[in-house]
Amino acid sequence: MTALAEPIGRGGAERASLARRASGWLVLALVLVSLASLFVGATGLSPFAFLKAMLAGDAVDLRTKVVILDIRLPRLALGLLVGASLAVSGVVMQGLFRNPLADPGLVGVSAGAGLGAIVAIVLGGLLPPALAAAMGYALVPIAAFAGSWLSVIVLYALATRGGQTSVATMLLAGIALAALVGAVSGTLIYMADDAQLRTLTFWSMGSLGGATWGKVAAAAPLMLAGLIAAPFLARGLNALALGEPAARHMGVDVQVLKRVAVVTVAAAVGSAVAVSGGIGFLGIVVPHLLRLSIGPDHRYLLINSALLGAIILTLADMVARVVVAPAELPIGIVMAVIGGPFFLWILMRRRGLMMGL
Amino acid sequence: MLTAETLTVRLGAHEILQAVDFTAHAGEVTAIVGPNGSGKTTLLRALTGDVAFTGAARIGALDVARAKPWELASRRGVLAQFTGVAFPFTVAEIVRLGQASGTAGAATDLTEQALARVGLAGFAPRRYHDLSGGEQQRVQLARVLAQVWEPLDESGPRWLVLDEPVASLDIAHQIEVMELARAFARAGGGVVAVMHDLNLTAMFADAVALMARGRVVTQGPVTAVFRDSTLSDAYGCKLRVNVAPPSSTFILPHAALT
Ligand SMILES: Nc1ncnc2c1ncn2[C@@H]1O[C@H](COP(=O)(O)OP(=O)(O)OP(=O)(O)O)[C@@H](O)[C@H]1O
Ligand SMILES: [Mg+2]
Repeated sequence: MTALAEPIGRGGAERASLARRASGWLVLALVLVSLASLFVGATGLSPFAFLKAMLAGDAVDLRTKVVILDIRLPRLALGLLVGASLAVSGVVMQGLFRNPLADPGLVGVSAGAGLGAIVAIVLGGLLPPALAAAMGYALVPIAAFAGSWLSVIVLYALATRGGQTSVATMLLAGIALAALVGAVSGTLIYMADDAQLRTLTFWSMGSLGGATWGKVAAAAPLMLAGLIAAPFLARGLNALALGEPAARHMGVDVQVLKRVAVVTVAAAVGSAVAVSGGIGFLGIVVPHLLRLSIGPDHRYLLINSALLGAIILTLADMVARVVVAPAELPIGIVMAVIGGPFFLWILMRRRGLMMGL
Repeated sequence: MLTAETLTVRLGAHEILQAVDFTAHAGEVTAIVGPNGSGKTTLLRALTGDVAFTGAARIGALDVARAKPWELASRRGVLAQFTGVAFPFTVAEIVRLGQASGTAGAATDLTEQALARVGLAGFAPRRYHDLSGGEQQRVQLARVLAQVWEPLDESGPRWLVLDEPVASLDIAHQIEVMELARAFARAGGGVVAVMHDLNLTAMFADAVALMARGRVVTQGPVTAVFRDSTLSDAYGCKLRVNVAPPSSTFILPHAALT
């Protein structure tokens, strides 16, 4: 934690080496947390017994095998991807809007995804039964994904004139669109029956429950694409911190940067929200914590945010699974209960630093 | 050579620049002077490709309207009238952004050298937002310097395009920065600088373009442009150009003399 306490006065080079060391520690933590998450849960399992059995080639008892390989492993994979995607998307949005409080919600991804999910839950019954049956549980994620993309495309089109996209217009139009979407959602919620309301409520609180390899396979490609694309934006986002004209003067094609950033975020967050519901908070807290410790250089911030986001979400999911076992808490609640006070504590301690952010 | 031919800029309903012709030569410091709102910043923004214009703007072999941002970035650095910085970057990180975008590459770290040139040796680890206004402006100049660094290379001169580079500086740093600009020009590069201080301009500029109401009124050597009637007409107040012995030029407001 000395890293958190002493960010000022470090030269760029020192900060860079600090950032690299931080990456090392975060990778280590990620491995440990991942292992722990495989063996913690409603059914307690001994990691040593399991590993010994696997290595010795003994027949691991079927139940253990199913729990680890078909339930916890896909859930872990999903948690890592969603956590990394949300945190990285937060960094990209903050860089694009030049504001540490921006989050993926600002480009309409979350609102659109929410509307998609609500439409699917409330009006799903109106689909032809054959189609509904074919889509099964995938209906809500697909609708959420479609909703997030639709809103991003609408916002981008609204904010683009003559090949130039105004980030400020996007921000304002995003607020208007969110209000509009909220009205439609509200109407649908008003129409919903009790069972639908319950489904909706759980969806909006987020969960990694029900993760299957099928879900992972469906959502992973776009999240991975976003995660792989993001580091290529680092130099452009660094330059953009000095404003659009300065970034252009330093050779950045700002329009291309904006387009790629928006698509990256839509891909990553759209699929993350589709499979996990509404998990807030990560996109703002993770980048903020890291900026305080390793500085704002996006070359290090993006990678470390991916790692820390994955760690925190996996940890929160572990907590969600154990505190009220055998039942589960929605992960959104866990994030808020642990993350909220922690974030406040950091803010209070470092209030002076908020100036000039 | 850096040129503008019949450059016209329209913003909204207004024609901000009207058929402006402007030329700056490598090896010289070319100043652009004129009253507030006369179009100096707009002319620079057209020359750097920041606003749409009709007519032609060229930096060396590059057509400003067509060139890619990175092609322009390898030939010229731009200091804006004001540059805001989001996020708590250090001074060193900001200067390095300039170096990374230029052609100097990352082979050697120019940060300390660039900072020393603008009188900020030892400022590298400081947080940018903790600096004073004048210090911040000099950090931005160091960033621009680190971007263009070599005034002259095999593909020709590089350019410093500066909008009021000394506006927020004390007199010693004004002179330091103007000397730096002159040294850059003498080493084969080109400098275009918007200036408000006519005396400093007289001391350091090789050529001057005088603007008023969206046009370049006259352009040429300092002694040709700085004449009582020309300046008084452009600025709308009485000015007298004095030549102090032995040969330096200085300007006083007319009211101070009577
Ligand atoms: N985006 C804009 N839309 C409309 N008018 C503009 C715009 N930008 C500049 N102008 C107008 O164009 C004129 C020239 O502005 P410019 O910034 O080039 O002046 P300047 O010579 O740099 O002045 P100063 O000495 O105050 O910096 C001003 O009258 C200004 O109000
Ligand atoms: Mg100006």
